[in-house]
Amino acid sequence: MTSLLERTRGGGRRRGAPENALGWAVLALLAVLVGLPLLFVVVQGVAPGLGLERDWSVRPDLLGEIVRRPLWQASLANSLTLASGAMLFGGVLGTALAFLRHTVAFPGARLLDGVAWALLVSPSFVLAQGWVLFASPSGVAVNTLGVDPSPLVFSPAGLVVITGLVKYPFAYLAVSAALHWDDRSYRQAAALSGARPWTVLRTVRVPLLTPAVAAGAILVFVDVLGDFGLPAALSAAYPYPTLPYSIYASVRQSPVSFELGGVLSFYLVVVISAAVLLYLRAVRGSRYDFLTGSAAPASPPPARIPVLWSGLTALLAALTFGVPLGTSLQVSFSRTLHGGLTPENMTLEHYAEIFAGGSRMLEGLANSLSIALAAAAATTLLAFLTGVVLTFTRFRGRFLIDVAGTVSLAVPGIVLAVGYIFLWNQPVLADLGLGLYGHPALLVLAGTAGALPIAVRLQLGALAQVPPGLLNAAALSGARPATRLRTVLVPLVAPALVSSFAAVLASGIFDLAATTMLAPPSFATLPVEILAEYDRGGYGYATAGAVVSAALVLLLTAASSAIGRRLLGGPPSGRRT
Amino acid sequence: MIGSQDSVPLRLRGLGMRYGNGAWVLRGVDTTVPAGTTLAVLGPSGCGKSTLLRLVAGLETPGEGEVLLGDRPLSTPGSVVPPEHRGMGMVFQDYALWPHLRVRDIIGYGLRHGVHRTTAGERASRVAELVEFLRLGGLEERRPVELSGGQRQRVAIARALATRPRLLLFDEPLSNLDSRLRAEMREELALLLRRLGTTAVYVTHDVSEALALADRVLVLHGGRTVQDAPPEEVFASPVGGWVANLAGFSSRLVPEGVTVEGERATVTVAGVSFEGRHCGEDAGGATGPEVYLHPDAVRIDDGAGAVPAVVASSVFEGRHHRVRVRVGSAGTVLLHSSVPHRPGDRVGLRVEADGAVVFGGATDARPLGSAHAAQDDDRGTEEQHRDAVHR
Repeated sequence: MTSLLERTRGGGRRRGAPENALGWAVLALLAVLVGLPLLFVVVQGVAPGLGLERDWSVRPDLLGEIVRRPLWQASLANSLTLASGAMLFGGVLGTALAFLRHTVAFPGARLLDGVAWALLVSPSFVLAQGWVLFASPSGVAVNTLGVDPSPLVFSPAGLVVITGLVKYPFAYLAVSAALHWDDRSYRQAAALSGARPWTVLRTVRVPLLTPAVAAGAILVFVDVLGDFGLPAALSAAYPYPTLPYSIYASVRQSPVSFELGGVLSFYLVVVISAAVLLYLRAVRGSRYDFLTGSAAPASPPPARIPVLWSGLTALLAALTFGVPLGTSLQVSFSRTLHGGLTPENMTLEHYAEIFAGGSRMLEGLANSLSIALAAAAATTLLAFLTGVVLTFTRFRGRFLIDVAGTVSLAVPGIVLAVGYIFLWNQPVLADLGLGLYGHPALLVLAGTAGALPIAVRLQLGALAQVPPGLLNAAALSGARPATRLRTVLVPLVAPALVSSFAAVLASGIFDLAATTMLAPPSFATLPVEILAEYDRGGYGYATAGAVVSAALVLLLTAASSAIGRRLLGGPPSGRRT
Repeated sequence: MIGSQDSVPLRLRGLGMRYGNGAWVLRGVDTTVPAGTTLAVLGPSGCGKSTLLRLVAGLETPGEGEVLLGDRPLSTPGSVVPPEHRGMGMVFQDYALWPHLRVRDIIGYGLRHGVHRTTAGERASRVAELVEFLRLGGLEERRPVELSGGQRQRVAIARALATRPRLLLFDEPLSNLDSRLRAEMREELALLLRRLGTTAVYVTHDVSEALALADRVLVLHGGRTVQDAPPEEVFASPVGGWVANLAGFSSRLVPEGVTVEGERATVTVAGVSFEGRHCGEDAGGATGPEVYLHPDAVRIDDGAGAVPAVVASSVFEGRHHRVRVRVGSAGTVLLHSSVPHRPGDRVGLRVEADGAVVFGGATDARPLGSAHAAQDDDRGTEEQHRDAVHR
């Protein structure tokens, strides 16, 4: 391990000063952004009202209340049922589709990848709204197709299926990644040892893939458990309290109950942490550095009945992506929900309303865009500095930074937001002039904290590819630490910086959990406006808002990726000397 | 003027460094590199030679001792002058050429972004001077990926020279080149170092590079200095079996008896005696007598007075056949022969007096089959020696 920033300015002689200063600064920022809010969540679980109410007390017994209070119990049970069911269904579906994609070639096979990525980047509350608008008793299915799927969909089993259809891409992409590099020599060695195809599958392929399958399924579980968008969109049509929704209700709906929010957040964090630990174990088991030199991108043989698989793929795309987004699109162009797909019912009025001067939706979009831009810039910078400390320094607190990164990966946005409420409402902060609660700046901080784990992971991969010698060479050429970062490291990892900026920006605009919990009442944000309009029954206006925003996000992402490609096009090929 | 304005000596005093777990990777290295001369640091991987170079460069902090350039202390356990302020140039093992920059910008980097910046005009003329000196004309607008191995290396040298460093450091700069280019670049570097007259430290595991380029060779083993001498002396009088092996004496035999007279030793192997140079006791710690043979100094000769041996293997290598023979229980010998031999053939060996170096064993003979008898396997001498040291 090489030390990048180990020297002081002006030829000073104290060892390790800049790298330690940077390390401590990063650690302090992570503590404020992630550590303290989480600490406050846990503390509120056993000492509800601490710092927030006059008569708070330490009550560890509250954690046991979950077995006595029906709402608490139902939230936990519903969350576990939904997450486990979706894990099983989505895990099996994703794994099967990944096997299909990498076992036979057929026209349109790439659509499977496209649908998976599209589902992954679509905000879950928009997808869920689409499903609700499609399946509700007065929805698009009844009015356009003449069938009423509501009894099927609005049941625990129906929700499991819908959730699985929305979240299966986690499993699909994890297993696909493992199948992408096909090391034939392992299978050939087994065959030459006398194993029949079935035995090869059972004794070589499946054991090698098990960690990836497990990791994909656990990712589905973790994401469903922490997801706030789905239950938020469902709440209007079908009351199914889950932990994230009950946490939201406890602090944002009257009567406010910090003890409920604290205890439920505590349980949510415990369950998700356990799942993330399992995930990390599975991922460690699925590292692909065992690949031999003969590994090559898999090129599957043509399918025997290609039309069957092409048809199945088209059906899947129509079901998982077409139904919810097609419904939203149709509703956004419809006068009324019950009018169906008729020329008389078609209108542009919702779009006109959005673009009319002073519309709340446009204001919300502008605000959300500003918040997301600020959060994307802050996250990209902080993730870069975090990556630098982890990759190129010997700062002693690196393991703490690593822990903070892993922990924040496990914490759902809703819990983080609750932590922000608990932390930034402390009177002592207001006395210090730091009472940020109710200020839009808090949305930027929460957005940064929530997006940090992904941004760090995106950048760590690129940073790890930069040989430390390139920085040492700059040092020996006389470049100071900051100059080395600016002239050597930043240009080399620029494409990763752009990707990380684009990813944070795209997800930040639709960040429902943070904005719904932390935005001041007078401050319109896009997701809150969409959800509020939807709850009021203004489905056309709400879906038109979602469509406009999605188009904007697509545009921004495409622009970023074009910039990224341009940056990548710099050196003719390869990153290494 | 391409090199530095003033040459200064480099001094290392009791230099050492530890790993995080407390184990010493380098310990007690003392040497002086006189102004304008080149020191080669020779040793196998893991001997601490790269660590030594990184300590000199200011990329590591010493656990003990100090680094002085001229009279100025640069590194001590408590304080290290940052690399950007040390006035050194370094050629890295993998060259470390920035892939996003062009040759012109790579060479001029230190003059543009370093602590001693120059005007754009001065920079351009210095880059032009180096481009001409290192025959890089026409390549200024290329990126590293568009250069050949030899060109990359010359760019790395040009960059190292750009700021007129007072000390040049080379970290195995030829190890990534193929053997033909390596030989060419070795000659080129030797010429370059003579012309520059800059004090230099050159780290390598290749004895021919060390002998060709250095005014003095520091041999490291297990993090400690085992020999610090001019190249001729390292070749003629290695201080231990391990150095002899590095210097090309690659076959190790355990003799039945050794008789020493001054610098000459008479060795008895398989009942036959031959002469070699006596180099004292093995500094590496081997306790019994040992003889090391150079492959070019051993030939197959079935006449009277030859050491009896059995061919173990014979491999055609183009210019010659590489033949490995077993000499009873004394060990195996590697030699080059113009004709092939069949495994199992009984042959006789004749050893030229300059081709054998002898360690230990004053006059007494040890019985065969003792604990120190040569191991009857195909492992390299170096590996066997390492075992002997650690036993």
